[in-house]
Amino acid sequence: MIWRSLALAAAVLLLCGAGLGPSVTMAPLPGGGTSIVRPQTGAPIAAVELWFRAPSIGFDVQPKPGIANLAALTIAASEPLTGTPLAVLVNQIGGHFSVSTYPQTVEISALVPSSEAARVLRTMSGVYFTPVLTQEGLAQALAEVRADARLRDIAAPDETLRDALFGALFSSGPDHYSPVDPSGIAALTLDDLRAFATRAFRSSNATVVLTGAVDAQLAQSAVAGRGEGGAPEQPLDAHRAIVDPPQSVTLPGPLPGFGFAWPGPAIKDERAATALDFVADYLFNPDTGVVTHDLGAIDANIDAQYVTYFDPGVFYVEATGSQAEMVRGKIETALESMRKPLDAKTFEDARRLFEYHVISDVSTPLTLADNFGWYASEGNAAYAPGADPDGGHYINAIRALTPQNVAQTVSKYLAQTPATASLEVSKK
Amino acid sequence: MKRSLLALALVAALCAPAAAAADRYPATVIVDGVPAEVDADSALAGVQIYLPGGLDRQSAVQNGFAALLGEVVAGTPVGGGQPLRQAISSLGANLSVSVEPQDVRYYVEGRPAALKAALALLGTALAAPDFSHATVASAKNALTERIIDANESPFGVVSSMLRSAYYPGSGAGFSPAGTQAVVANASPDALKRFWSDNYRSGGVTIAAAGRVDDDVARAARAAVANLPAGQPAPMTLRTHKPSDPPARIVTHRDVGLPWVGMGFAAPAAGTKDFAAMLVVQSIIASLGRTEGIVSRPAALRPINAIYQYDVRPANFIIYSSGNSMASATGLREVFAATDLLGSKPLDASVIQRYRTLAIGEFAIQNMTLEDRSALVGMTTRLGLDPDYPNAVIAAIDAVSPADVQRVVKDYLQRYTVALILPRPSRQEH
Repeated sequence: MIWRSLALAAAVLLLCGAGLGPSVTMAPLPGGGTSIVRPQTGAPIAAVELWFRAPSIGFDVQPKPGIANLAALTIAASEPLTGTPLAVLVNQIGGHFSVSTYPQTVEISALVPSSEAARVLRTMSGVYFTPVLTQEGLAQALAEVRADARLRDIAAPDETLRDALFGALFSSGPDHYSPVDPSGIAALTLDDLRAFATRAFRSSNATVVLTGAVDAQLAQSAVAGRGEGGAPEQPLDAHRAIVDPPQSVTLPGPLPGFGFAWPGPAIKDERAATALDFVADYLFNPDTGVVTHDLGAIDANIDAQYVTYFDPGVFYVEATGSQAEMVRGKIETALESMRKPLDAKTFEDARRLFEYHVISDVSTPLTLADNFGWYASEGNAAYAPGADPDGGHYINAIRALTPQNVAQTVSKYLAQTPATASLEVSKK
Repeated sequence: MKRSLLALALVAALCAPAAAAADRYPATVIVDGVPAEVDADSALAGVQIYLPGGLDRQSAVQNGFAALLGEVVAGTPVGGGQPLRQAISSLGANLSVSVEPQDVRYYVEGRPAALKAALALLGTALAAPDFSHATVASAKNALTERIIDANESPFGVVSSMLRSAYYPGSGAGFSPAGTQAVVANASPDALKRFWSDNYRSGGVTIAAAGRVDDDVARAARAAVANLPAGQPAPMTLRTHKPSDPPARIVTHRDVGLPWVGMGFAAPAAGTKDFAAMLVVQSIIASLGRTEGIVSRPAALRPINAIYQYDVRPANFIIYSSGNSMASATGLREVFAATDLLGSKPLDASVIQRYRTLAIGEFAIQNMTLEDRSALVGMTTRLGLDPDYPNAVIAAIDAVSPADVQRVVKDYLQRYTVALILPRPSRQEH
């Protein structure tokens, strides 16, 4: 009897998000896959997200760069059997809609008034779990990808540089290609996209994330989809694709810039991953980073992050701007200095500020949903910084950081020769 | 079986969601004298302290004093000698300072324990800012960079042109960061006078949101307890109502295409037309939008409408950036829309769509802890019902076609025009 009680309790624990904090409910979706629900008191809005594990270049041996992004956008723009396209619906209710494609995941996101959350989840799960892709939707999606590419070329040199860094760091596989690469999309047919969508956008390959003014019952608004079942796609180990020795690439850009990238620990190595997150925050946080703060009137922007992928993660730092070269030495010196332990007071101050940044970064419904979706898709949902800000894995990992283990982690991962990329402004 | 149920009930209770879904903001309650939207499940709390040292307190020769004083306070050495902003960061909290038309707003956010300590440091600096040469010089450097950035923002330039024309004889329409010349020449003594004239305990408003408890509220009140006593001089904002034909203000900047803005009088929050004006804002901001699939930032829309409703009297600006649509084309669309909206009521189905849009936009614009505590602050400063944020949502939902028509007729027929034209190249002279 006791065994039965325990088994029952264990099942419910699984369903209510064991390891994800006391306010999180985790449950199976009707058509397979998982839902994560985290209610928040606050504004009457909700974030409704679908996350899928799917390579940005498709499942075929021959890579099709940009296919995941194009397929996801085409579905959002296509008129479903039930009426209004998803993207139009979200815009009509004053919400924000986005599609974000990463090397191995696709995120569909809507921030909407909470009164509309059930309708949006029904529509979103309906159009993705039973994908309808129309020629009109494809035409809109192609236009969207091309417009985005033009905007990135003009206004987001940091993103261009980041894609180039990943291209230099990995020789092949989804990490090598820009997830929003527009160069080959014109050759993709509606049949290519349908085949990709049918495999990628299954309920059984999905994580639904609901945050904000939501409750656990809301997840039941997700439709079951085609009921084809099957296992979720598994994360790919990208170690084999790391280029050795590291490469350098140069490409044209609207501003001068340069960047470095190193492979880092896997998401399951929570201590090391947290240490590299700390380093990015301490040195390069846009408002408080010691290097950023030291820029003064120099015309340069620094962007740095530890990207916690399944395996390996990637630490990158890049600088763009007319005077970007002036900060190269500052960045190199700062990273080298981190191989030695910080003094105790500096470290404690920085650690406290890092903890605040982490909690603040996941305090809105949208950022919290992004956070759960990312960490769940990369294989370690319990490590999501938003899971339990009072005692979850991530917060405990921050509190376990020491000057010594941060220095050891930097020495292990960031003392190697990095992959590099540069942007050069055309002299014409 | 009972054991099974007990185990289930226990586990279910342990992992029950913190709250059921809500379509409302949490009620504003008074926590030890501080109005607050309390979230017990939030890890952070945010406190707003409004002081009467905003743009309206500046004369033309003080255009920049409000922001410079904010920088001086943030740079004042506290505790172990660290500047206030850094000392607060070291506690694991954050300080931001915003200069607004009728107030200066100090916002501190952090976990409750860190927040309490941060508020104590803020109180020290507010009561005795450091007007030493070093601190003032450092504040001037930091502010000058922001002024340069602000001057490169076409919307910032358009809005300060229009607001300065709308609030004549007052600094309320000035650019929040001020001018380089004034900031460069500001003396510590003049700044100190500005502080002592305006940072008075009698003019303070405090508001909060998040994990606010009695200790946080007490710390917030203590942060202003040592300000000089008394009330600042009373201020009344006069407005220069837009005329017909419209006045034109022109400036030249390094822009590729012209930027055009139109400034209107508008109903402030708390007035009967406020909700209808929010619906009108949603209608205008959706004009000319070639609907992409994903949502774009407002700055990338061809036409946008900014409603500054927390000022009394309020103002409304429509601008056309020319980024993806020529400004003239954009403005023609605005005129066509306002003519149509003013001449006949919208269909019921159309008004319903824009009501929904306006509710969504209002809620999303007032989402973060900082936004929500500022909303509580606005409600308090304007003397509105504490449940005003929810009342706004209900009022938007009740806006009728006739309300929209009336608001368009009353407010959008007369306007002032501001133009930013590309600076003529040297070869053309």
